[in-house]
Amino acid sequence: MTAILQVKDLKVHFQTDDGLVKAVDGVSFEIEAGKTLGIVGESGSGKSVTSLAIMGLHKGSRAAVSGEILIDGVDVNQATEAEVNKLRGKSMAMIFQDSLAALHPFFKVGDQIAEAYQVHNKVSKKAAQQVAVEMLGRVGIPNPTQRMEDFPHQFSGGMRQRVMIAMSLSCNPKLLIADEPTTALDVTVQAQILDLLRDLQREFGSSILMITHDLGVVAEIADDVLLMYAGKAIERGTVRELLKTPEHPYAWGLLTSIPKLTGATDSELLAIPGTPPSLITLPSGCSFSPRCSYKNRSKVDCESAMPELAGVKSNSSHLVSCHLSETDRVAIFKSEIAPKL
Amino acid sequence: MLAYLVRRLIGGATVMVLVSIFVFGLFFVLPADPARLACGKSCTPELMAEIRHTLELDIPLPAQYFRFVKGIVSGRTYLAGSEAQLDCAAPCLGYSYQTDELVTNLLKDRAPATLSIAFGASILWLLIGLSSGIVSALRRATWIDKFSQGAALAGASLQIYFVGLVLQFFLVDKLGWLSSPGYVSPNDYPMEWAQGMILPWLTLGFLLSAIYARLTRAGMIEVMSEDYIRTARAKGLTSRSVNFKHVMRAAITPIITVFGLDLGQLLGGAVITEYVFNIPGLGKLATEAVSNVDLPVIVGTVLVAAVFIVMANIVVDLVYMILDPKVRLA
Repeated sequence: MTAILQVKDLKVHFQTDDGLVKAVDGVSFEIEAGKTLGIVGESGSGKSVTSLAIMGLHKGSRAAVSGEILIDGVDVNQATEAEVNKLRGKSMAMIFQDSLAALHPFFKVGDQIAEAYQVHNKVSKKAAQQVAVEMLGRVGIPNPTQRMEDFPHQFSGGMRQRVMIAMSLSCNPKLLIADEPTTALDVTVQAQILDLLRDLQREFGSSILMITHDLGVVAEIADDVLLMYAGKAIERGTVRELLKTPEHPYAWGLLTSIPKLTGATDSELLAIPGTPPSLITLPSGCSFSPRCSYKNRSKVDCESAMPELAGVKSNSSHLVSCHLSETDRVAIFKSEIAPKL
Repeated sequence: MLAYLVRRLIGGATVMVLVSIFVFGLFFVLPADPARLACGKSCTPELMAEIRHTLELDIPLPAQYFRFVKGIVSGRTYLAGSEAQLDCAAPCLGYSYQTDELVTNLLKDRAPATLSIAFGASILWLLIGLSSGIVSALRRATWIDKFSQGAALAGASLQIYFVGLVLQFFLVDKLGWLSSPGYVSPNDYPMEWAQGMILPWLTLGFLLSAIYARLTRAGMIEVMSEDYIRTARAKGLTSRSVNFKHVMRAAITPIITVFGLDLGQLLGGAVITEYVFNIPGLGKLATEAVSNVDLPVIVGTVLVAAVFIVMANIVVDLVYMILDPKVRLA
């Protein structure tokens, strides 16, 4: 398999009045053709900043981006604006969480989709409009020819997200970055949009980078998962590995905090104690250690250094960044975590 | 759309009725007696009574207002039936006490000068304001942005009578680059007309462009941080298309609103500009009328100014409906 996207040691730092914010601090991953990688993390973990960096959308802002972002043999981080413009929309496209804010309020949706196609294809406006009608039909919008003339605010949230998807897929990109595409939608609509993405992925053969905080979405659509915390990747593996045999205490916390339909109705909801750290003054050592319930079981001082992202023994694709030894992790998972899942 | 237009026109007409009642009231609130003002220096009680009758000041107040409005709508005849009968065609605003001319003729004579100032100056301030605002927004925090913002601050703080006179002193008196400001008919003397207008245009253009430069800059910078601009960039559009198509399209709407209102106000009379440069426009007519307590002329100029402002408001709202699809459907 060939990697469509390779990200190596990506760092995105923002200089602010309060100090240096390390929004993303040394993250590496790749996505293979036709596969879906889910990046999971809570607000401020750096997942959206990562996706914007891949699109080169930090250019011209105060962000300092370092590392390698290879797509189509071009390093987005080193490329000029003109070179990145050739990649945007064609090699990689993006859909955003808030489709109402992300579509231009004063342009007809048909024109917005046609424009996306025309940027990379030398065709007449009429031909581009025809592509837009086809795309709208493909994403399941009824009466596409008529709806071409409508403005974004005339669509429902789910339909608008379909418009976004139509726009992003109009140039058949190799990589589709979806930044929380279903977060603003009703649960039933969420499922429809995820189904649509999956169908279109099969049809177009694109890879998807799914940014989400929702483990349900990940279970639904991702092949692989990257778990982020405070700007760093702390666990990585297949979706099965992460959901069935998670290794990181943070992943344990996320999974056990999902309420169950079975069990006593008055049972307390489990939450991870504490709050995410400030990205300016990160805790010394493992950035999760202040919230970690198992740090006293570690034989290493968790506050000494940030643990390396290393392969779980016997399986090189499953990586975790934790000071606990593998035997300890297995023991804790078996006795304390698995019963709660 | 049509229903909306009708509603707005009815609203505008209501405003005009209220304005007319208010200005008509001027005749009676002011300590000056209109008959006495119209009577002149060699006034006798008999003459005054005659004038009172001629001007129909001897009938009840509501009837007077009714005739005043009727005069505007369908014309009016003073002293009907007598040999001194005076016909005043619609829209009749009466006769000037000062010159005995029809007020409508005075307004017609003065309007072209005001129109000349307004159209030239508005094109200039739009050009200067928009371009310096755009440059500022695109080159934020560079020396050119600081310079243009400084100029805009100066423009916003200075007054016409100061800038106008300073410019006149240097450009006309000292350097001789421009001829003295003044108004001649553009049909007869187009070159002289333009030369006489340059100074008022420059002055108003510079002063009013300040607000447009700041509006444009602020509007563009705000729009640039919108999500849909990020989307436009994510499509692979060049920064030129992003800025001049996507950003400008959203930033221009409030500017057009302000422009319409400014233009409407100016069309009613560029009072200070006309006074400073001695240009015989509607504003100058109004100031002259006020200093002479020439009530019919005051009423005429106020009504004309009100019409322009009401119309500008309606036009702006209609344009807004075309520009903003959300308003269109509301």
